[in-house]
Amino acid sequence: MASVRCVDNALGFTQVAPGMPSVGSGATDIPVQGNLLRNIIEGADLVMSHILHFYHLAALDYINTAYAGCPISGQAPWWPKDNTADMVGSTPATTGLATTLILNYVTALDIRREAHRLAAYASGKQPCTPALIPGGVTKVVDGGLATNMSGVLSTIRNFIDNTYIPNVVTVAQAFSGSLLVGSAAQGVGRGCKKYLAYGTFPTASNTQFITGGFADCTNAAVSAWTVSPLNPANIEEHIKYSYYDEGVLGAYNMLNPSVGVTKPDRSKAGAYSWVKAPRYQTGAGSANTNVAEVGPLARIMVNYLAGVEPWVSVVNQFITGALGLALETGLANMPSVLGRHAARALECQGVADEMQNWIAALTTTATTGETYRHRNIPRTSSAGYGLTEAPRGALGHWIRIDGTKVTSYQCVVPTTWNGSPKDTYGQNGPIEQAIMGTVVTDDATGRTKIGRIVRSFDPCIACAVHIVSPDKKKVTKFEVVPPGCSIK
Amino acid sequence: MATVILDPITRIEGHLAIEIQTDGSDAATDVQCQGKMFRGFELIMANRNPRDAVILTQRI
Repeated sequence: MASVRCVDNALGFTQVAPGMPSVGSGATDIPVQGNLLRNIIEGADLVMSHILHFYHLAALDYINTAYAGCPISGQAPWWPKDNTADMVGSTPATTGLATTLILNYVTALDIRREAHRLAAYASGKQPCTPALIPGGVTKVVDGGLATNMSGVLSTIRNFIDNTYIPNVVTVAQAFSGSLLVGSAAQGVGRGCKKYLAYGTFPTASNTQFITGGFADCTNAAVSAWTVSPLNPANIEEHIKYSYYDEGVLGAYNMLNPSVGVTKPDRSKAGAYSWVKAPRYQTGAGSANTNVAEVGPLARIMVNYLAGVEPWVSVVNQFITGALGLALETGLANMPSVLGRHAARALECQGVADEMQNWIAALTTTATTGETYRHRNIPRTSSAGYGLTEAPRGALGHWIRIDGTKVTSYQCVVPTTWNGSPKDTYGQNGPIEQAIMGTVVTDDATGRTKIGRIVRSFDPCIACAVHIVSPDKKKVTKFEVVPPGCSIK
Repeated sequence: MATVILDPITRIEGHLAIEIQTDGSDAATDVQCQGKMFRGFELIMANRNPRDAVILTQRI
């Protein structure tokens, strides 16, 4: 969504909030119906991704698969895997729960397919849809669309309400001694406790269902936590420890992505990652260079502190109701491994619930494409940026256009924030900070701890460029070697 | 003093390595989160039609 929003912006569609297109009936607004379809596509993708993450990427860190009668014991791809004594299924009393969680692994595959189906009703194809175009979407709503969508959504919501949320609560309670409320030695994975969200899901009244902002939760007292509105000009990308040329006198270091430079240098001394280190600069000097975590936890914290509903009620209810903790205690422990899983599950539920309203607002009375997109695209500016919330966190694309061609394109993706190396001032990135201080031994226990912490961030290291030939057999790998690039 | 290396971290998308330095009591004293793959979308997009961005960079 960030890619289409940055082109929207560069072509002259109006922004009402940083990176967010205005929604309305004007020549430079995204049409209300087109925006609803965009939200449904993005929302279904978020719901799909959160279910994928919990069941298919993270859950096996919490399930011992070595017990007698385990349905996947000894089977690839779940075997071999590290099993530790603190996992569900390690004692006869918990093997039943382990089996339930494993069977839900399979059910969750079906639900992910349904979420793709829901998005595909609006996008034609999911993922990688051709339906998103500058100014709107290519889809036109017909009579049966809302009915089809509602049916699929109710199946998904039933799974979230009755399976996903209870499973997360179960895991949170089973591990609350070590991961949600615990000591650093046990691997809490608290991280940097500063959170950045860009917000997304624009509404017809030009607000966002999830709001952007920067939250500082470093103070021990919850009452002293602060939140401020998002300012994209504060984003700077540090490359001191990344494999990129810093330019003469560091001219390419610490740039805002709107003027960013990406010039690979594989042999750079001192560098240890291909990921850049974006930081949120809230004032002059290194004291105001903020390491920031992005993702569901960041969105929940920013929206909670900014008083945005339904998120305040959702969090309060989860902590005091489902977990049975005092509000202050629960909030203080949200910066944690299981806090990230909880935030992801709550967000999944909140977005799925809201999607009902988006589907209900679809109308079939206007049958021309004009209602969903623009026939005449304005051309008033030549640079722009688009922001959104990918399932994994804040996502921004910055573009510059000269005539009809792209002259600069910079992407700052969620894992660029979470998986960043040290910055110019030596501050570790969010995942690095979350591991710091954890007791790590080079065995199954140590590996499991690190796996739990790292996976709670849902990292995604973007892919290499692969091309599959039409017979789907040969895979050709291309290297991108621009002039002056040191990669061979 | 020991070095613990997890490379690759599985069950994530892409290739990530974690290198940890620990002290005498096995507590992590330095951590490197190493992105092992070059992405290059910034370079792929240069000199293309802006409308390509919506398709090519949609999933990152």
